[in-house]
Amino acid sequence: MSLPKRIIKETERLVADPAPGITALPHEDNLRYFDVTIEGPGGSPFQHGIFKLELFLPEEYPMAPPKVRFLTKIYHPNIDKLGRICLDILKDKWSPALQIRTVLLSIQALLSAPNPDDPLATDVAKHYKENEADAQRVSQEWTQKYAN
Amino acid sequence: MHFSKTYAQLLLSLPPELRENAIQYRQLKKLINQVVRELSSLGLSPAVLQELLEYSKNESDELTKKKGKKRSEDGEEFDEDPSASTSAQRHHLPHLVYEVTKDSGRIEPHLRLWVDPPSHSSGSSPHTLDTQEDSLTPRTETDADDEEDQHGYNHGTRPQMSLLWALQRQPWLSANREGRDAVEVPTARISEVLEDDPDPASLDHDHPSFDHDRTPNEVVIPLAADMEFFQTLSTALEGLSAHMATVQSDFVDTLVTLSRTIAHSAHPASSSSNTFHPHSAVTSKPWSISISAKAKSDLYSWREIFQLYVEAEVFESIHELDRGERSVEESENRLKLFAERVTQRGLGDGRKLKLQSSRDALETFLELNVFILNIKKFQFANAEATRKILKKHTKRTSLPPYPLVPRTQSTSLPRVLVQAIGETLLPIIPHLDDYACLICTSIAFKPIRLSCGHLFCVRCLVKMQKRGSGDCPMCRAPCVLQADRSNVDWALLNFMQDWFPIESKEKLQQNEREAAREELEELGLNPDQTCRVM
Repeated sequence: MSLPKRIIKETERLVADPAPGITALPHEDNLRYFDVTIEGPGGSPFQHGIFKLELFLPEEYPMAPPKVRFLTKIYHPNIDKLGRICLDILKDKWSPALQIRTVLLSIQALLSAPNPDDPLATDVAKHYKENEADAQRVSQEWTQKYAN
Repeated sequence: MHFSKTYAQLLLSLPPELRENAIQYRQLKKLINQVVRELSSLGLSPAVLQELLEYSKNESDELTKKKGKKRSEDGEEFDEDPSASTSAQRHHLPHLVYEVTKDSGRIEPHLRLWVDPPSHSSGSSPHTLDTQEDSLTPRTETDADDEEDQHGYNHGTRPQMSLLWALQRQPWLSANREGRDAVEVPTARISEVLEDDPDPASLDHDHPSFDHDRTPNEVVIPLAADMEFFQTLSTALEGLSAHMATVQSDFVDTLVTLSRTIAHSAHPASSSSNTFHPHSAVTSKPWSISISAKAKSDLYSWREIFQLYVEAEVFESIHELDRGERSVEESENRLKLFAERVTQRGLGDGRKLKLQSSRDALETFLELNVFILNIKKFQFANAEATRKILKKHTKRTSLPPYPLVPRTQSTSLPRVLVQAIGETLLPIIPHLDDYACLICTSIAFKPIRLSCGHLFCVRCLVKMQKRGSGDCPMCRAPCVLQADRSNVDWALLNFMQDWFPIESKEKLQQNEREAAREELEELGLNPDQTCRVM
């Protein structure tokens, strides 16, 4: 099955005009599978970190959302040990008008604004709720340790 | 290579009407020489001037810091303390400030000078003059046998009073400050105030310290040559900005004419079809209208040319990482690249531009771009010339830089012209991206307008309905499932067929293929499997 025009267009733009702090490169043998990096946003405990992710566009894309997962370990209340991300637009709030680019920007924004009230990693969320400063310290440590 | 040479060469490469309005770098350079001469005639060589200005700057800093302290210490302490004497000696230097006034629209630079009035108590000092003596005749005291004679203060050959001498006669100054013309004072030698410092040893005993509480004498020296320099430069800059305004309005006129020509040669099918009704909902064969050979139109060629032009991003980058104006060299390269691509695709000649008027218009379009490039070069060169000449002025004269701010537009002229192309010319041919379905990114054909007002192609909405996704992809209004035949935007459908006949047709065929395939899949058949007869 040939690649839909939309995916070709999105890929072209991601490569030619990448969003600041974000890269996404498709695999040569599978153009629906992308290697992604996201820079930790400035002012967050993830600053200076470079986080690797994988992104896959299912057959139904853009009717169905892309599947995205962190490959780099990260201490964040909305990202679990397996790198799965709790983000509404990746699930029930997906809209076919969203794109790979907008999804990755949303994930970058999630790093700046963790939401411990809608946790995926319950222990991290608990830590963030009870002692935010200490939790941020751990996030920073993990960033230095794993995201380089 | 010297800037004046590179500058002259660059100007030669530009059209004469631009060249004539350029900053006259050489002339300004000569004027700087005159300024230097003027200052030297005042005894203010660059080194002297720099020392004075620096000293004045430090002194005013110091004064603000030490003011109270000095008063309590008072004069006698300075006399006895040798270290303090240097401080006292330093007050022989006049306080000098370079000022530029812009009253009545003219730039008038002058030097403002304050000299501490001398003490009355010691008659032996060469600096100490009888302030009662307010006659304008040069002084002829016999006791002044020291440095002053070497400098020729009192020589009869000098018709004007020495400035040093004049400065110490307050009544003279106050009487003459108003009426003095620009020639009178500059002939005096300010530097002598500097050179005239007695050596510290004699100063210790012979010169009592100055009274710091006394108001210093103030004198203003207009700088005529300097005024001419600034006047010339600012007139040139003003002329330049006036010329640029003419250039802009001429450019826009040409652009509007060009837009009309291109609009005419790239008319859509409807303009030559009698059967076409823009708002009809009863087109039995939506793709029946096509560009016939009879009604010649270069619509697709022009769309391709404009597409190439937009992609070339000749003058400005629209990328996220390096957004903004490009350099002259970069623009030149990109314009060349654009011309090459147009030629490569056969858009520059009769192969794809069927109408002579189109070929002429393309030429004009390219000329306009070359013109913008020239303006870009020209403005860059002028800004550079202005910057360099002001720098040279500072360097040669030691006068502090004066921020001569030319009245520039908030956005540069090349930018305004590029925007004019984007606003006036490019939109005359509808661009596919403006009529694309956000979901599949192809033309939104057939166009379905949801009740929330957002527009998608029928194929994508059918897919959404099958999945049961009811929210508008743009605004999440729950209106997708309600959409039906009545949501077809007929006016837009006709518009699309008119302006995008090829794309509309292709999309329709693609939709049909996809729908057929889906039907098969829903029946549990693999559409990719070749049919086999068992």
